[in-house]
Amino acid sequence: MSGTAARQPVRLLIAALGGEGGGVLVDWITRAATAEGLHATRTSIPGVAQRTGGTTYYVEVLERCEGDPPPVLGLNAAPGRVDVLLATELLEAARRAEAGFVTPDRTVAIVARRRAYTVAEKAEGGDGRLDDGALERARRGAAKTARIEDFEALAAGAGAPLNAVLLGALAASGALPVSPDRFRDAVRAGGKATEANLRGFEAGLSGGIAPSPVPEPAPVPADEFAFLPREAARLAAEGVKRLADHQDAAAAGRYLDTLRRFAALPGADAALLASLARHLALRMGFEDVIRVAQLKLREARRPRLAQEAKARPGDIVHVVEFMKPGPAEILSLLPPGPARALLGWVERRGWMDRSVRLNVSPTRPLGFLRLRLLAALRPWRPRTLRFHEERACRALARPRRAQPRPRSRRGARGRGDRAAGEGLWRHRCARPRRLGAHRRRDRRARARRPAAARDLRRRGAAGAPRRAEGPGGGCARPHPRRHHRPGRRAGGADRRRVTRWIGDGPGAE
Amino acid sequence: VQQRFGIDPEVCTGDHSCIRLNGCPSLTVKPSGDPLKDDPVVHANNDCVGCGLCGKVAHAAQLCPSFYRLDVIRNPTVWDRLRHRIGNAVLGWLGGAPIPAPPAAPVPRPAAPVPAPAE
Repeated sequence: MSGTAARQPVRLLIAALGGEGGGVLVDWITRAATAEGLHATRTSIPGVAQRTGGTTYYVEVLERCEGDPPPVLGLNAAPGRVDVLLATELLEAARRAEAGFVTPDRTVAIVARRRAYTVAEKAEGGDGRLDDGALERARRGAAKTARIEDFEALAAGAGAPLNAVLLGALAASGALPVSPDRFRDAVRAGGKATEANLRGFEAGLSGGIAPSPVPEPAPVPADEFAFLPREAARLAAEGVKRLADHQDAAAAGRYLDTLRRFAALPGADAALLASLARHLALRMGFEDVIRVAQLKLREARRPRLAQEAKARPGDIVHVVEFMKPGPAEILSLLPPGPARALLGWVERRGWMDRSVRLNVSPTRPLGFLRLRLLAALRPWRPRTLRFHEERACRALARPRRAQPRPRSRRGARGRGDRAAGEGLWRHRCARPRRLGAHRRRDRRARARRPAAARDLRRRGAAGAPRRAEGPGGGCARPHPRRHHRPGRRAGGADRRRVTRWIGDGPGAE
Repeated sequence: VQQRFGIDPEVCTGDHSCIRLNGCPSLTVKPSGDPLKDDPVVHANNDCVGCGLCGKVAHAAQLCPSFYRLDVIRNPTVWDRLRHRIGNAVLGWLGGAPIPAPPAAPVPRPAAPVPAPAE
């Protein structure tokens, strides 16, 4: 019995998302291990499908000796005592590592380099995705050896599911005293989709790396952008293309003129110009009903739709678009005078929330005709209210000094009234005479505030800078990307103030 | 009729309010593919079953015109096909074009992997 004490089982932890086949993978492993003549035990904590359910599986495998009594193997993974971590996803691997299951003295980590985004990442208004590189580096640092590869591409190349590829990678790592043939037998014994699974297993075993796509070198911008630094010139070329498509060549010319004026200013550095080129193009190429109709009629869109429909020969495919323009969007197609009058009237009647339900099918004659008519309004666009408002906004950014606020587009996204930033811009810019209004109102509000609070604030401002209040600038969880988000720097208090400006509206004083 | 939803990457602005509003698990994000838009756009992956909840939200909350619905009529009847042909003729006369049909002889795909149920 003294030999048993010295023997240690190989402990294997599998982290997967529900529905990815972790259970089948565990089944194969235990089957192969028992076929090899080892003691094996497995436990699983299943979860529901997709990102909502992290599932973990735990396997212990112990070498069998002559005359062994039935061994007692562990049912739960213990932190610091995991020899192999198999993970189908980077963040799941990170979670296991955070819980202490990945240690540099023993853990071999085999992780598929892929991400299934969490709801928090997806719901973020801008780019809330975690940095894959950071996740990967953290895993590599924590494990004894780590094999983090794009197993999903490998699986897709072999036409096989991911779990079979991971099984192959496990066999290749040699962490388990089980020969590849036993694994193959186990896969065959599973009896389902044997061919595909075996293909995946071989792909994982041989470790053939799918060639990573070589990033194309950025095209050298033409001479007409020579006045700009490289990055800005690349974006400006895109912007010119977009504006010519959005309106006409004259609009593209105006865009370039503006850029030229800024580039001539002292203190206009590469970052500023690149940012300006991007956001000016987005602002000038604003998305109104006309633009949406134009995009929906794109030629290039049809092959993509056909591919997504997965239609069989003989099937009929129709597309239904969901448009629901409200009064603000419809009336902003009129010239400024009538549009403002009508908008005021609609607002007084309290109809701003109403909208016209427009389910258009561009693959049917009537729907196509409607979209076509909308898109044909393009030459009319320079006369619309929306165009005038956008131009008024840009007029504010005339190059008087080289520190304009070219990041404004981030605030103005979404369509119609739903875009909070839009309301702000309309308020601030469409009536340039009233530019000081919010400042005056603010001053008045500050005067109304109790003196004690004012003093407190002043003292706070005089002391430490307010941004040093806590990590993450006030958000509950530390969020690695949030610190770098330029448009967000305002923090909670400032954003609340912005909403109040909008809520008050111009007539509320 | 088999339905599924999709999102136009050109129209999507990347504000992800659809994900916040309806929380559909088949909505995910992918890089926008547009050098001017640095935020990822929304993308409906293969899990979409065409339940239409996101479309309902799109109507109730004035959500977003970047959504579209694909109606695939499987095994169309003679009447369906006749209507489709007439419609396409009118469409062509107006200058439009239908969604291209898949190639007549589909390439034999490798055996589809059987989705393995979680234990």
